[in-house]
Amino acid sequence: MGKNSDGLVFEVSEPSDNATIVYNARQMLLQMGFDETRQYLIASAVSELSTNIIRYGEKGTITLRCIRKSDKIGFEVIARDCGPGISDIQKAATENYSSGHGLGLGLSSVKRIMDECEIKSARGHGTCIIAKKWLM
Amino acid sequence: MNNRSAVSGTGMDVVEGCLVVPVVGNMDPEIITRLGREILAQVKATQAKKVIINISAIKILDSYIFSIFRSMATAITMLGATPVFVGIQPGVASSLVDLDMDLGDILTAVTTNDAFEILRHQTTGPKPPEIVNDKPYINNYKNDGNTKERENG
Ligand SMILES: Nc1ncnc2c1ncn2[C@@H]1O[C@H](COP(=O)(O)OP(=O)(O)OP(=O)(O)O)[C@@H](O)[C@H]1O
Ligand SMILES: [Mg+2]
Repeated sequence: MGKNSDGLVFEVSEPSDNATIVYNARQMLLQMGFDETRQYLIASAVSELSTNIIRYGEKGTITLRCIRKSDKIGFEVIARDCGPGISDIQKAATENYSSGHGLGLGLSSVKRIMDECEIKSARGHGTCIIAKKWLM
Repeated sequence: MNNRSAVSGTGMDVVEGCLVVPVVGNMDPEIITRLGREILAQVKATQAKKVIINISAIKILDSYIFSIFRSMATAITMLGATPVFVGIQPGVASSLVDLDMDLGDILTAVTTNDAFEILRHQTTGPKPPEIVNDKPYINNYKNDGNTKERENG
């Protein structure tokens, strides 16, 4: 785990990394003042993104940050990997679509839980997903 | 006759012919997978026809953990028992699937009592053998010690 002004950065390559990330996400959400229900939901969205890195991107990083926009504060998660990338982003984010053995619920639930979710990816160029949740 | 018995070392319990499973600890997929195997073994051993799995301790239920529970439910059904999941955290189901109700074939209940209620009215599961004379009925009645009050006129 690395810590800089940009927040907490975690290397992700194996399932045990996920538990550490989820734990830290919850601590951060708690400190920011998210209520318990939202802490759990947002942490599960973080877990979706890191699980996808392990499953499809092989390895990458998860960054957790506290962000500000005018008078709002929010939580941001950035999932980055240099894996194969996603060729059809819209399809990937559709409920029930999975190229593997998953249920295909991960990305669609991230979209539902978070206020903003941006997926940047191209076949062969890795994936970067940025999701934000504003407090209030 | 005692109709409640603990399945030693597992935290599981048999109540009214129903295997009651508390899921403790955190969201470790490996541990949950192992627990699933243990549940299947206990369903076979106890011949339970109903299984209540309390997952209220699982606060962070992502799609991966959810898929493990779903496979668990399918496997339990294949053994001829009906599983019900209790204690899914608020908002979790609706974040995972569009409609709260569409959790695959998974039955859910808010509390363990609700789960018992659902299982009592469950008709899609394996049907009990038909009762021809009234003797088996009397036996069933006696075994049903958990129901304290009956409409005894
Ligand atoms: N980091 C990634 N790199 C490459 N492909 C990805 C990545 N993340 C997601 N995908 C693609 O998008 C699809 C949908 O992802 P999503 O998380 O919704 O479902 P899943 O992981 O397959 O199943 P579930 O999340 O329900 O267990 C994946 O099957 C995969 O093809
Ligand atoms: Mg996924």
